[in-house]
Amino acid sequence: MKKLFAVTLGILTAIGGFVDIGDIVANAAVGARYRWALAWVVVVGIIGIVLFAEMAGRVAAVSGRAVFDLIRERLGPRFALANLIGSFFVNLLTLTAEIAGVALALELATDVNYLLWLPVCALAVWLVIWRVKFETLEDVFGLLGLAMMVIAVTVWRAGPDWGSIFHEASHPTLPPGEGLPTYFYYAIALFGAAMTPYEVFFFSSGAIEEHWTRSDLFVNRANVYIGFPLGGLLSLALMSAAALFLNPVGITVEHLGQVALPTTLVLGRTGLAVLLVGFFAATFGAALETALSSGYTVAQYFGWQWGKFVRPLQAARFHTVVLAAVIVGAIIGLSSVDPIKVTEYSLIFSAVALPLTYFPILVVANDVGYMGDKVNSRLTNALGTVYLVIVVVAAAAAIPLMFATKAGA
Amino acid sequence: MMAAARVMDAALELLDRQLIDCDDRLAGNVDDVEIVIPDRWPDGASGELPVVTALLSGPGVLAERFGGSLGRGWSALHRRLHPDGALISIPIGQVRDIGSAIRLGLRSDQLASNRMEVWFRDHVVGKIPGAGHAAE
Amino acid sequence: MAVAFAAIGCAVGCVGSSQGEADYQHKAVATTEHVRSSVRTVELAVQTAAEGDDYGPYLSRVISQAEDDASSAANAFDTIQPPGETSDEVRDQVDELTQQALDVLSKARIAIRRGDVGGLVQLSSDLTAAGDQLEQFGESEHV
Repeated sequence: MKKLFAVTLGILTAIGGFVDIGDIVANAAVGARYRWALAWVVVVGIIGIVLFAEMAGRVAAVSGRAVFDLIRERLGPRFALANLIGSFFVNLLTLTAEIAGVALALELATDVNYLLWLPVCALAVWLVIWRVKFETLEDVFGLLGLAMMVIAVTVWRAGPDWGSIFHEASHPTLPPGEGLPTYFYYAIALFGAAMTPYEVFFFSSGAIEEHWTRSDLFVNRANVYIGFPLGGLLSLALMSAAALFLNPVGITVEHLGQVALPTTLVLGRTGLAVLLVGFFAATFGAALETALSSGYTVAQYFGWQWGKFVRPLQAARFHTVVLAAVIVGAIIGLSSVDPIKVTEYSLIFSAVALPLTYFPILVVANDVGYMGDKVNSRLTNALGTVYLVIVVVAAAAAIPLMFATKAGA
Repeated sequence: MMAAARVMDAALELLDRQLIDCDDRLAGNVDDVEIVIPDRWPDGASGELPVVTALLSGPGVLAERFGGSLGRGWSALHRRLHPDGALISIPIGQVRDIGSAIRLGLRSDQLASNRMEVWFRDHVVGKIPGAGHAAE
Repeated sequence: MAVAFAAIGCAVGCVGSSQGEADYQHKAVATTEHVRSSVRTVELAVQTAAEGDDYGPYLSRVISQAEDDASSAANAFDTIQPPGETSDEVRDQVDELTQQALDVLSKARIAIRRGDVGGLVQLSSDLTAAGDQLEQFGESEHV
């Protein structure tokens, strides 16, 4: 049992990255609009996050230092502060959307307006962080989030022509009437979702919450190689279900409810029930991930005591930041901003923060002083460098494309 | 002791590193380093070399290092909050180990960088039920 | 070219002062496509309901959201000033089509809220017809 649960950190982290509320809707929207023409971005994103999450986990296990520690150490306090402000802002926007996302999932199940659920959800998120052990939290939400796999079952049961799907995915063409800038805008949003910085903040801090050491490097790899591809698979399944069922009739996806239509059609009420559990767990997990990450990043920047491995009294500033983030997130959410729009914007902003996060990881993963004989292999460095270039290009193009395409309209 | 000497790059291996106290608690970062430079060095021929005498830690110190208008503003705010101006200086003799983190021989509650932690513990987190219990 | 394409995709989000006939026409098409998306969504929901399972509040949620979307798209289009008299014709057409669609969507919402699955399923052909008409408009006006 212990062995099975050992990979839940990776699964929870990846679900937060690939299938949080914004991604659930964005993946389905992209599938309905572009069919499989953007599937390659998800694959590029999976490889990138696997590469850097493995490095971040390895650094944490070997040196005991989480990612934001490294960022300040290698970039100096000024650049690190810029990254902290940017990442914290993205985190807060995402947290806002996730709390609202949990409420939206409950709305679908109960028909009670999500704004009524929202304060309850925010309180629940905070209570879990306050009272539940890190290991329990990651096991429960990592495993419950697997209910999202019902989307993959939907696609499987629909019995599509796999050959033609593969052909469409490997020979991407623009649908008639669509422009290239909008296509690339969505490409960057999907790439940003796969590589959101809070994934490595959470994953590396989680490794320290779990007291990983050199002897856990195998656990690190298992988490990374199982968790992240699984997240990517869910993302592709959402895209495929929409491409198969919603694209042919011209549905534009804007709500969580529409995302559930294919599963409901194919698997009936049981399928729907499982999927709603999946929506709930994925958004709740992502809310925990982003709320904790806001505490992790600030505390690590200043060197404060952080983490759930000590009593809250011993990490007072950390818990204050987390509590404040949840409260502010709930207040922004209650102002009835569209939670799905919020994550879509935050994805684009997170693309901008990517280089400042991944560059220090790559540098430290090569530092013998930290890593001893566990420094990067030459292949890892070559791939890491290629990805750094991709990340810089995506970061530079993100904001101009957002304005040029009116945020993908 | 000379046998154990190793060459270090103070900027790379000391600055911005995590401090850990003797109870394994995270105790701030190295925000600056105090170096004593002998009189008339390097021409003073007395044979003495500059020596790292202390590690400095605390938001006030970090603000000084920032410089610019951000640093000045932050520094001024910090002086208002802590008019006694206590600077957090950790004598180098209290350093036990320098690695991916710097281990100290003293407890974090002896450090002034801990004052804000105490304030939030007493006024915010300590007021919430369950703060003293480990999570379940 | 790319800019023109981006404008077609533009739906409720970008209602401004309409510049010229072509622009107005793009917005007309975008509006009908938006409403069509809502109609098709409800069509799928009805198809699901026809299978007889009890989906609890889920379908009712999906249907009322679709109705809200469609009506805000239609309202947004109505606030645009038609640039010339030839545009009035386009406007009338869009109004008629969206109004028809909104009628069916309201009926669907009423039926599901009353738990009247039979009544809901009977709307199926009306929904298909409304969706098809909107689709035809989009195709004929697409420039």
